[in-house]
Amino acid sequence: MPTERTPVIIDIKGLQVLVDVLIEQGNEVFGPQVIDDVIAIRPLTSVDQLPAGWTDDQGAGRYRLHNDHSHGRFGYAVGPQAWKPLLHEPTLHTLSMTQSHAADPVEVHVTATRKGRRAFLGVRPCELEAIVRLDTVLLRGPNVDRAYRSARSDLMLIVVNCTVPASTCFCTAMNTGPRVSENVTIHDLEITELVNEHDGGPRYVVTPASRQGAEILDVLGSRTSTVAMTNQDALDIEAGFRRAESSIERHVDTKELHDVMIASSENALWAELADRCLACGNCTAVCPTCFCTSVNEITDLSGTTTERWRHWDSCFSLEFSRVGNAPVRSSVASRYRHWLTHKLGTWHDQFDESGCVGCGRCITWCPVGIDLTAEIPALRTAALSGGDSRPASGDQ
Amino acid sequence: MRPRLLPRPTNTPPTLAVWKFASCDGCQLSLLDCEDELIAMVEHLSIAYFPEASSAMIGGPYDLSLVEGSVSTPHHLERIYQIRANSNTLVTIGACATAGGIQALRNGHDIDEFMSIVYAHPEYVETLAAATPVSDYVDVDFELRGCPIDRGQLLEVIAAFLTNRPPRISSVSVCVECKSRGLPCVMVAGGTPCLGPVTHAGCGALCPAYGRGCYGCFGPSESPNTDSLNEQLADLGLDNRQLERLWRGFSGWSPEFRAAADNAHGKDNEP
Ligand code: SF4
Ligand code: SF4
Ligand code: SF4
Repeated sequence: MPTERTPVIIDIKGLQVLVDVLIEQGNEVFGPQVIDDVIAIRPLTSVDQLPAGWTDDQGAGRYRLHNDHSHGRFGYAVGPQAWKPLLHEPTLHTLSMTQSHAADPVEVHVTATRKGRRAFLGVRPCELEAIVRLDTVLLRGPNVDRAYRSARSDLMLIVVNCTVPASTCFCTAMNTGPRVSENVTIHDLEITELVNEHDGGPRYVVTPASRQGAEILDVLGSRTSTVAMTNQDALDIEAGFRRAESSIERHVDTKELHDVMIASSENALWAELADRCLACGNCTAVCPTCFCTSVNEITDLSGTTTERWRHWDSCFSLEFSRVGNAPVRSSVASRYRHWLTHKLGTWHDQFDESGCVGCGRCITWCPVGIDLTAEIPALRTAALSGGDSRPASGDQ
Repeated sequence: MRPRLLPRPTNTPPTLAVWKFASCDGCQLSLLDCEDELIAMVEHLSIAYFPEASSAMIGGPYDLSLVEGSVSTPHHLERIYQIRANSNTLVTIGACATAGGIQALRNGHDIDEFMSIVYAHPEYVETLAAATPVSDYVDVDFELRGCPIDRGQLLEVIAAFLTNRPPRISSVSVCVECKSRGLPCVMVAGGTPCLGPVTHAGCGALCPAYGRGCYGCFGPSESPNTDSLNEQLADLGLDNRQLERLWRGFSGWSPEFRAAADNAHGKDNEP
């Protein structure tokens, strides 16, 4: 990308101007807000809606917010849902078909996909990586997903780097954060929040990452006072990232992880996990890269109209693994194994990248707190020692 | 749903009968509540027996029987055999008909003692020892869950019957509905006990949408791991008595929830 990546610094008023400019240019802006005791993504028109002073306390099966009265607006990690519901809707009407009489032709009406410009403000680095994953699957494969394509077009992605990771984050292990990687090019602006509790409000280092991003920054410069970054600012930013990185508690050894997963298919650990797993599907619903759906056709009472709906589905559902008349993964052990093996193993074979971006949502939002990072070392040890000697039970 | 068994005239719409056993009528009201669709329904179905809605009572056999309520008296027992013999397709509706309902709380206790406390003349009361689901006695073609049932799901079952296809009723957990609605988990984010992860979807996550935990009124989901949820709920601070009460709700007599309640009860009585 030929854009010059010169960052500018704005204050909170400047951030409001950025939101105003985005709206004036016809974007619907979305951003993080505190809704029902969690950080949720909602339409945003004012920076006052951002979670000022809020931070999160996340653990396995546990999420709490508290306000520590810091000046920051982005002092927390990811909330329960990524941007996935806005890009890949949980339920979607795709088609209706009508045939009033047996002799008539079938009228097919394909549901229009969404239109309009949008801007996502506050996309975290791991979430941006997750959008890269969804792009690979839904846009670059042999079959392009119409609904996803239209949701992804006319979209401005504004990343806000993480300075306060949660205890469930492991982006450093997956190479996806806490700062956006140089290798990712799908976003438009990169923002880092600088909070100095002694000298008033937060400041924002804004770096263009695309031509559109640079244009927005030009408009911003003409509407509000921006200042150039000083050497001290650069040092503060680096120190902030080092603090963020060293505060990350969870780690995954990704060396040959694909092979470890493939070698683990008979491990007895899957049956042990199945004793705890509720097969509730929360982990797949909150995972920003899980993309599976099912399609249902529903007839009306007269039998003349059929509506086709698509909805999120999950490899933890029995029905989802039904082939012909029976499920191919009838045990919970086999369904859990399928999920984790796909995320960390076979995703590489299919798409040449990891299916996991280390956001930690599946750890936090699992009602019984199953933590994949805690299970991988045992799989690795068994795989390296030539497999687990215990027979896998209850599995198929 | 299985194909029709009994002969019927082919030039008339299929007949519908709605039957009540031990129940509150709430599920039948869900049918009357289908206001917008009622007209279409009577175009495609002829209502032959539905005392809650119409005084016309046409004799059987019936193409579709909807049965509400649990089997609770010797008279119920006689009737359910008759209804089954007179119905091509029999669908049970609601927690009472599919799992015994809240009245199944009496099951396994001293029924004579209950009667002596509740009724002035217990000798006039004829009852079975247990209130049980219809499927304990007769073949059921489809069980529609809920307390009460969801009217959208009821319409789907009727539409499926009319077009002779299997109903699209998902048996995944309530969590799936919670997450599709974008509701944050009340258990993870609030520490509120919730049966959602092991409860059959269908309500659209009604209770969590109001910040309450799921009461399990749609009964067990397709693979309910109640032991693991019991442990998690205990970690959230529920003692064994509270756990037992949570499971013994509207679907408390379903084998899975009953085992979970017995488990908690058993632990309470451990020395
Ligand atoms: S598997 Fe878990 S940690 Fe990895 S991307 Fe999905 S939700 Fe995040
Ligand atoms: S791992 Fe956790 S969230 Fe995922 S299905 Fe099992 S219990 Fe549910
Ligand atoms: S509130 Fe209950 S139903 Fe909703 S996600 Fe949490 S556990 Fe599942």
